[in-house]
Amino acid sequence: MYNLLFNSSNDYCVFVRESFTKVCNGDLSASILLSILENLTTTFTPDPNEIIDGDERIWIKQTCKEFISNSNGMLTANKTKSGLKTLVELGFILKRTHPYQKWNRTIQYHLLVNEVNKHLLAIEENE
Amino acid sequence: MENLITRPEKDFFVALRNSFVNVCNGDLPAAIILSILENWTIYKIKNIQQNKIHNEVLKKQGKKPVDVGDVWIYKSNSEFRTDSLGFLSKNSVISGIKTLLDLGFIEKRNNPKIGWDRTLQWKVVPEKINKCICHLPKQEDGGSYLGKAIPKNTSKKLLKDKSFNNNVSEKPKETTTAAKVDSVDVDSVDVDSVDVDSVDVDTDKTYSVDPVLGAVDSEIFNQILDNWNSCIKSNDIKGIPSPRSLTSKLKFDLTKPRVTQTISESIVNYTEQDGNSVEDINKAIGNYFRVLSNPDKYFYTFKFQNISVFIHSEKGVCKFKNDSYINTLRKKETDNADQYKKLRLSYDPVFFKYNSSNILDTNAQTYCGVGIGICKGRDISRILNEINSYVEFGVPGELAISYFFMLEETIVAGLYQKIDLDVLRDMIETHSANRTFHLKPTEIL
Repeated sequence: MYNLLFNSSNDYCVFVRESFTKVCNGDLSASILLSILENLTTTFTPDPNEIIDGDERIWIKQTCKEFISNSNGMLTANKTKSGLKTLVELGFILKRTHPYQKWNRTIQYHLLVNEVNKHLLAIEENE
Repeated sequence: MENLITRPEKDFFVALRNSFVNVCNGDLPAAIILSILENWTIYKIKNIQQNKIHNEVLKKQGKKPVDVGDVWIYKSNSEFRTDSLGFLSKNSVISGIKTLLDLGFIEKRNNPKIGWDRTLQWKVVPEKINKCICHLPKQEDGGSYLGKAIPKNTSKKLLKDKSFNNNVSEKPKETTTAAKVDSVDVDSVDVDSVDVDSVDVDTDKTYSVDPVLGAVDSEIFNQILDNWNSCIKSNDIKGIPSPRSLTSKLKFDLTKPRVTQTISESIVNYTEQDGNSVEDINKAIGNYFRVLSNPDKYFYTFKFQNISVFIHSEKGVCKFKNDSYINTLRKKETDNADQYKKLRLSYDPVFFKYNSSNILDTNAQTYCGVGIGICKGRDISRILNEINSYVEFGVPGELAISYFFMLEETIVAGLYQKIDLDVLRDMIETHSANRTFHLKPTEIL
């Protein structure tokens, strides 16, 4: 895309997509989180300590503070919690704690891409 | 980048760039509005280009060309809210736009063709925004800028590296900022145009180079710091610290004691505001220390905690850059009442003798022997002009008796009306110079 304003390669960008907002039933926080999780899933590098045999799913380790930071300040702690709750309820993400380190309380998230795509297609067809 | 989730056709989105949040001083609505306006401006530019091509075709066909349009964006508050996908509220749109206008990132106007149309039009000022974005601290990890102005380890590492200065002057084009500005085609951004080699850097001085600012700006900023430190030293002022480096982190806002800022950041923040320049800071520093080092002449004795506070404070550079402000700080000559009393005592009249224990004689309605009516109603400036013209063309050192008489009346009127002390002194001097010519012989003896 042509940029009018100076665009550094280091510049971090958060997208709020209309389609994501629709798929999350108008929950703006959930759509921002979905966008962040998609971005993180794409750029994911697996940690060998966390791989469970037979499980090839991508699990994103992310704290609430990290979500807020990655949203460029668009999210607050409460918005993040409610957004994640919406995504779990809609069945777009799965949650787990670290599979081996029981003391590690940072929650990991897995984005169910097919589920999101299904909903997006359904919305598109309805329109 | 490959997309995991499918994108429907014509999917509308709002992109919030980290750099926008930073240039808008953390104002999220302003950053979102800027993003929206950028997208619309790009759309407009594309439209203009398309219209130009269309006009060429029309020209060849001999038809009348269409209006190519402009980059002004017609957008109401509710449209901004819709474009932000509901992220912005009515008030946040208003505050965001205010921030952008204050920062000079956008311009506004009313519809130039339809007078009754109250919906404002907006235009992005890319030159100013790009300049600010280029001045942002460079990020290494690509993460959020929030809460981390300049990475601590970056600057210190680079400053410790002795070869850093040489690298800057040898390879100016390798700096990431300059390289990236090239690709954006921003004419107004001066980062690229600065030829570091051509700048005469005083090799005797070992300036600390701020890795974010680069060598050129660092030199200018270091001169400010030198000016500050030398003023403290030369005037022997105690209680104000002399920071060593531009990267020294100092408190800049006394209301936020935990927040610190480097000196270079303070200077950048100041100069980014409209109408402020580096020269202003130097001038203000000079004025401030002139005032501080002369407690006899000026009543101002406040010591700023450090240079950053001085730059940031509304009562610092903003005030001291104006010479008129310095004049207001000047001490008035002791007590004026005393001055008038002194002058009165030094004045020895020839014609209008009075009792010094009863200056204001209520019975005779006189003040220092002159009628109150004269004291109140005397047009001093007119009389002075008359006397001066006489002195100029008359016999030097000798004032005619009528004028001398008038002079005595005017001096008393001046004392009564409490006119300017200098004028009064001049009159008394003239009086004393001519006094002997009008004394009676017995009085001389």
